[in-house]
Amino acid sequence: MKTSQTFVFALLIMVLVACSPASTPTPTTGPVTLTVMTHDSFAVSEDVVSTFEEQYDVTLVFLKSGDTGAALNRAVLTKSAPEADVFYGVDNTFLSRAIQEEIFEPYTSSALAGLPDEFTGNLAGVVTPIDFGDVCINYDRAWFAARGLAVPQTLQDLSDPDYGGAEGQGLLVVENPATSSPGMAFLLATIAEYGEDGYLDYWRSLKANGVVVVNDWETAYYTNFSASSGQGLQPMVVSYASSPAAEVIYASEPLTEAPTASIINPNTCFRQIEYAGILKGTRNLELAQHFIDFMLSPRFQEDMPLQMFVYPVNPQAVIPEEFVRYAASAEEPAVLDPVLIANRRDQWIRAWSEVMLK
Amino acid sequence: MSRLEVIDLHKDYENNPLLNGVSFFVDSGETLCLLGSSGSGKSTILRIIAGIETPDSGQVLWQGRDINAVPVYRRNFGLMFQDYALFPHLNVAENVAFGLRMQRFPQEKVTQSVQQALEQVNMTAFAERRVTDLSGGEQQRIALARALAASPQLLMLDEPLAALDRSLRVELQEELRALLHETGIPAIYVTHDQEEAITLGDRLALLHDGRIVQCGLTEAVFHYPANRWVAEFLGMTGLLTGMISARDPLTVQTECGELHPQSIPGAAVPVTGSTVTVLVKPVGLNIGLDDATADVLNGIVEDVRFLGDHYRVNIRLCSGTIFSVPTATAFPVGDQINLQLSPGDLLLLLE
Amino acid sequence: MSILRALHTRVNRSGLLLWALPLALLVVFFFYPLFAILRVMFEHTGAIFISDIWQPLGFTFYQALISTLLTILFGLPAAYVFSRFDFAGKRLMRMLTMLPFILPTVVTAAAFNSLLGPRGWFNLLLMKLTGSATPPVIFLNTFGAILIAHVFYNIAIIIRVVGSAWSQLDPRLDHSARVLGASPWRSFWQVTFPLLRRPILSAALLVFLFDFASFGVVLMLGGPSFQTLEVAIYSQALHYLNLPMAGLLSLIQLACTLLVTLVYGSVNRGKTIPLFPRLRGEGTSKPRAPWEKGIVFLTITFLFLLQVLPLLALATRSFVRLEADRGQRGGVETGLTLEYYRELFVNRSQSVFYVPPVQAIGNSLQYAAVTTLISCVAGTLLAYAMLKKGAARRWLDPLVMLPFGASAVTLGLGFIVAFSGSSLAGASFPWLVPLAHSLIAMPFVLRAVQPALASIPVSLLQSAAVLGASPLRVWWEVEMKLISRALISAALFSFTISLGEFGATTFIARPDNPTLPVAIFRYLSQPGAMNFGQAMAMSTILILVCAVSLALLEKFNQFLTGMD
Repeated sequence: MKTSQTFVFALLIMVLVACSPASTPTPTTGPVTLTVMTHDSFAVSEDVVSTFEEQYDVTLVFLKSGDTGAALNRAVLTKSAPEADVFYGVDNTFLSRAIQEEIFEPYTSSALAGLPDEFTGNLAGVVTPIDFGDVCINYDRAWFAARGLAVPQTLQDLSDPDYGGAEGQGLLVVENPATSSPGMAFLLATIAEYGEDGYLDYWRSLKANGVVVVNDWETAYYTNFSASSGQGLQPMVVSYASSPAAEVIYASEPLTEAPTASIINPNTCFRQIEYAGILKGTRNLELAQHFIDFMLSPRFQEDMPLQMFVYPVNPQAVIPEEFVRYAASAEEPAVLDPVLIANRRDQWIRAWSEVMLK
Repeated sequence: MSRLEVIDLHKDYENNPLLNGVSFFVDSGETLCLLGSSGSGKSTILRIIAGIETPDSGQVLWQGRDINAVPVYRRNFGLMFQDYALFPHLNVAENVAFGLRMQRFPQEKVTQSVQQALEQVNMTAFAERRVTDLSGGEQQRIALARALAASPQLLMLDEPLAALDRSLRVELQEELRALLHETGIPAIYVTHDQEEAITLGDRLALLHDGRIVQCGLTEAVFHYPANRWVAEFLGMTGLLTGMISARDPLTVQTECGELHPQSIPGAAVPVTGSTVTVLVKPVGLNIGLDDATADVLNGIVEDVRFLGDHYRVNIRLCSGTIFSVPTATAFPVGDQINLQLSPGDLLLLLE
Repeated sequence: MSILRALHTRVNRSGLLLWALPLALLVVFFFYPLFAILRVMFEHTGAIFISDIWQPLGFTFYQALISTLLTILFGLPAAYVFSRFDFAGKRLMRMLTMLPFILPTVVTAAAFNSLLGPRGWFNLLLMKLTGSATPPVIFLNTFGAILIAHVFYNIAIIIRVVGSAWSQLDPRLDHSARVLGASPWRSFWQVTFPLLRRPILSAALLVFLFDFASFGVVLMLGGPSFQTLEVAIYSQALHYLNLPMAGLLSLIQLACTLLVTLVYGSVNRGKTIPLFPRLRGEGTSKPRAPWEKGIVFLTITFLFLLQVLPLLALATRSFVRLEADRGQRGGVETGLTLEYYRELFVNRSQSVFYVPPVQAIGNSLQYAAVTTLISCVAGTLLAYAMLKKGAARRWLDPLVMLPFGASAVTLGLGFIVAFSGSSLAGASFPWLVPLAHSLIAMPFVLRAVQPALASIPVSLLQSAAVLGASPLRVWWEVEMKLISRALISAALFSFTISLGEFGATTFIARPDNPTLPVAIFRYLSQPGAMNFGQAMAMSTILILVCAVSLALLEKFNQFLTGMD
């Protein structure tokens, strides 16, 4: 009984604490803390973090909450009492929404000057591009080789009966854009290719060709894709252009060549560019700016490929060797205006669901 | 000085008065039998004395001191529940040891007292058994041992034999009687069974309508029931309703003719014209003999039962009342019978 | 009187002191964040499509109903077997049936996939036997997959809740019905079933609400053709970015939960079953008659196939190297390896977020222990509060059940909105995760403890008091001992719920303190055989940790009560 009484007391105290009005964290005397809000896929090397920490005598704290959509929601919902100083990981499919919600403090890094134009458009002076990755179709090299079947080269090829099967038994597995980010990105690629008037017809032809739809990347890749450990039935999956590199680096026995490859032909991929921004209300504005600059520096940029399997936006960054060898990036990725994405996102997914899931 | 005194207890149950001014006492070394029909509040009285319930008003005095404020677990009274309330998670010895442990007796004393209590109820062989494996009679003994083990100052037993079969009940009645006398612990024994009350009680207290209607030595109560309810409750069957037609000599006009009962010594006799009850006592009845001096009641033999060493004859009196009489010989069913009654056989009861 | 019962009658008549704490937990950690998030959600703009409500609403009810009925259908024989028969391996089997409860859906999906997937062991076997080139069994993305997974998850609830009531039911009731000429079947329907109506309904409500709010199973095993409200909320909030729609769907889900609980409450009024607190194996025997042996055998076989085999298939995957096939589609090259386990202990990528498995286990166990403590204390207090009939009792139960119907996404975002910037914010307040878990575990504790408490004859407590036990000792020496079995059962549920909970945790767990499920998910979110293998290895560790914890809890119970 003693322990339970103590416990009841502890609980009561906690409840009282919880009832007290939201107080701003009191400044501590120790090293300053810089908080970075990001999504679950974020990863970084320990020594890269300590480089920054030592340089500015600061402690970096990372707040992760779910996928990109969840993390962005978190930032939006807490904008009146921000939990972090920097937000990293909003991509171009969500960017416009983030800008509309005015969660970011304007900042233009001096390092932006050295970046290619494709990354520096649409920034509105508030966010900074950090990395990009291409959502492409990955295929099972052995499967195609064994059948002597040519790998499809365009989106249009995918509706060819050569790559078809019975309903739900075709050769391609895609993710549902209503529940998956790569699924959304691939939908955007088809919209870029066929236009708002034509993409639904294209999807109808894919459906007729037996395309398999699942809800999440994990199922698509690990259950349905034939070249993954799950060894499913579909030799083609919507994943990332960098996935083949991960298959080599995280192989369970050393591999000299990737079992998978990406179709990176013009207009077959959608490029997700990830941005970082300073959250309004930060009390460490200067440090936050330094951190954004640091993220653009080669030190951080060169760490990203093997941590997150994305490409650095800084052309000066040296890409690791195994990444160069096995990963690919699209030659001419599909492009859509972020404002258009933000405005039409809802309708596109609904229309797609009507065609594909009913 | 009486050890336990209960004064003017009142207790309402769901807005109906259950106890309506109950008072009685228990002297050291004696067993008081608390008799009453079920639902009369007997158990409630025990629970109030034990401290499980609080009275709405009234006092419980222990050796002259009001113990209303003393919590149940500090009173050191023993209470044996009707369902025995043995702890299913403890074995026999652990059950018996429970009270001793609660009162923080040293371990050797606990072992010793448990042993002694089990001996008293002849259950030493059962010490390690699960209580859920015991028969009703065995459970009853263990419950008694548990109540006795911690040497309570007062023992209360709530219909302890009610759930047992008859032969076991008779056997245990005798054991209980011996045990109560042997230990000398004052006891309150609650029952609705008059036979148990006769066997076990030094004194009887009869509870009716929230009050003690009669309290006294067992013999005295049977001799002079205070009223018709008491007589009926004690199983007396020869009750005749009538009207007082004369006070000297006391004469009551009933459906079966004029009767001349005695009145209870010291009790006031109601005025002429009052409705009263005459109790015909079954002892010392003369059946069929002719004696002019006595009152006579006529009846028909309804039923005769052989009960081993005597017969019990049910006689339908002229009023329709069935009067049950023990006799030495049997009578043919249907025979007309005359009961010759001397004044000592008839008692005037107050309504 | 025990001290907690005394709170009821002496200190204050309404038992305020008893339900104040659980209610405060609910208000602060459930209603407040929920209210905060819903307010914020409706402040945003977004189109409401009424037509998008009916389809998920209808399907949610439909699948929950079918799943619940199936769970009862398969759970009752198992509850019967566990409560009436002794057989070798009974305790192990009962523990194994609890294990699915802990598994995050992503692991369950992997487990079923390795058993029933297109290249699962079962299909491989069938293909070998029939010579077929395509897998004959299609499991994933079917309605059947949802149903099987729901039975897989929730059958433990029926076994525990109904089984414990069944074992407390006086076997003589059944015997006397049999003596009166009833066949075993009729005796069950006419005597046992009516007596077990309340525990069955009580367990069925839990199962129904679990299925009603089903997310991962529907998302990962059901596929895009099936959408529950919970899935719709997730995609509206995080992918459509339509917050008002997500808020509306959340409200509908809550309203349905409340409605179902209220209907349950009105159906379930009436007499309590005459349970007697039984502590040891009274009423159990070895199966003797052929039909008894038959039912025990069939039940154990069924449970093994449903509950154990997927876990075994999963564990096998963590030891087996499965290289992607090189052209010979259908063939699987295998080899045994411990590589995945070894690799778990290496931070090969030097990531700042790498967590050694031991630390993830430690985090999970800590959270689970605190959850168990909070939910058992709060749930037991509630059980005492509910001993007394009255308005409090009528309203408390639906209120306590409500967290079941709250979408993990909505509640997770609610925690963030409500507590961001306060001292309870995720980064500085480690209690938030176990508190969130406790909200889900509390109804289990209540349902396990309340009937046990109600079945204790008051005379036992009074008798202890008369024998000199103070209220505190009555509570400890008698009451706690008599409800300990139910409490342990409740603790097992709380513990496993916390170990496996994933949804709300992702929003509030600190990245440097990931739980096992969070760590598993991290591995599964990147391609590569090693990542997959490590996820399977971590899942196997999760299963083992849970099994060991459950075994220890049972041992602790024996130690505590000194009985078997």
